[in-house]
Amino acid sequence: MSIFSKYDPILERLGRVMEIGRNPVGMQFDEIHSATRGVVDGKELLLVGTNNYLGLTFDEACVDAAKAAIDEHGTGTTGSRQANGNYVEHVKLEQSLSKYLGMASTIVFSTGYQTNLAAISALGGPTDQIFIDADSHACIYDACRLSTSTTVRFRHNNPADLDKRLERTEKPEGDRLVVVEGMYSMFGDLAPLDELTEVAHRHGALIYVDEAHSFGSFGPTGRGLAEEQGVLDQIDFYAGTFSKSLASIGGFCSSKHPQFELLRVARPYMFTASPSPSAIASAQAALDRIISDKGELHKNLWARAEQLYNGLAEMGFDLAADHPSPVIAVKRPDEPTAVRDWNTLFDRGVYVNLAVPPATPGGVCLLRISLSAAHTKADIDEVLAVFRSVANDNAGASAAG
Amino acid sequence: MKQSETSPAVTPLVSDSDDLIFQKVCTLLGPYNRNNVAISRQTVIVSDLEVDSVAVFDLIMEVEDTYDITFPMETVSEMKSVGDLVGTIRTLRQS
Repeated sequence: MSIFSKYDPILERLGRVMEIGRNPVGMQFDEIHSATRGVVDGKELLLVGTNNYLGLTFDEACVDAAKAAIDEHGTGTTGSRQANGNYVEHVKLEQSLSKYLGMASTIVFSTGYQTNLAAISALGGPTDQIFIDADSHACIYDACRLSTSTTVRFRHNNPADLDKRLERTEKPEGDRLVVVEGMYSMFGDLAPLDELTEVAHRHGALIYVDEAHSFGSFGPTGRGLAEEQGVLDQIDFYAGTFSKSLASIGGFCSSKHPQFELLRVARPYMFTASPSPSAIASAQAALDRIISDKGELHKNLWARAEQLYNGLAEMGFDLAADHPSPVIAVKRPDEPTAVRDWNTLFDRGVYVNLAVPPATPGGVCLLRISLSAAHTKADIDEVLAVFRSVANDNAGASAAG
Repeated sequence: MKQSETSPAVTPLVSDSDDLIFQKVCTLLGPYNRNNVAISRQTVIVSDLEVDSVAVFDLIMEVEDTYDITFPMETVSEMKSVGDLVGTIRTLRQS
């Protein structure tokens, strides 16, 4: 018996996974050649599992901005903004995001995870209630635990169920906050933000939307699913990350309420080092790239999403969402099959994410794909060819009994 | 637009005895009891039934809809056994 004994079931499970092949949670990329190519064990892989939606990790302007920030301001801030002060990059990016989203206030955080952890936990006080979508990301669950609020879960993407639970739950002394996401990361399915916002506001609740996976890739000008559904100006709190479409690391939360500035006392903001100048500078350059883009990034990302979704659907794969999106999740019948297929895809040069319970909704096992504007039509043809070979292998094995 | 399934319409149970609550909880636990473990009030939901944390929260949503109560998430972590769940339902219905 040791302090680590509680992890024995996970160790046993990982052992069963590794009997089938590689360790899916211990991958080491020896080289990254581009937004869509990386090398593992001397083998170049086509990357379709990196959330690099706009493919800007090697964008010349982003790389140059990061290098210039290091030259001018060094490699790190070595502390929090309260203690060590604000760098001009932090302040400028907050101002840019507020202007872009039409919000009164923006706070930049060190990671996307910390963004939700800080903002939600600091918004929710002991007399408040937080209503969260059942399929919320772990950081939203953790934020609710860190808050002192009463937390109620409602059924995924279901405005009627939210309505019922808001009605059923006795109104608090304090306020109510409804927390949802834009595009959900596992299935790639989309929140009905217009309906959820209407329900929340009708009950006097504020609405918080995490657009980590939809910022940059949805909406006519990249402002996310709230923009696409015409409710951006109604969102009380809008969270995003720099580690997906903005190709850096960090996160932000913007609000139409100027008092949001008070949340700089949130513990995950105050007691951690601020983002490095290079990370912020490259995020700023990526944001500028989105703002100045004439629709090419968006157009290519969605063309590839539709190409892949339709191709997989035609082959008969069971897809988690009923529409194309930058995340496409292929359901597998059980964990051994998912692990085996993940290894086969890897061996044939395609890197996707293996996603298994409890990280997935409904206990399903997934081969999770994320598309990028940097993918070419030929890249997706290659992915489809490899998936077709996996399907043929499985059909052959099934026929062989 | 993907919509997860809506819970079936139920008539809230407002006058159940403790035993009836226990029986109803056993019924609700059915889909989560993959190994057909004999359920008693001492059964520990997570370990004895091998139910993960997400499934426990899904179960709680069924309980909420069955009894028309709100079951705050922070209450769930304090509840280990089926007997704890029955007791919490009773308390929430009385509050």
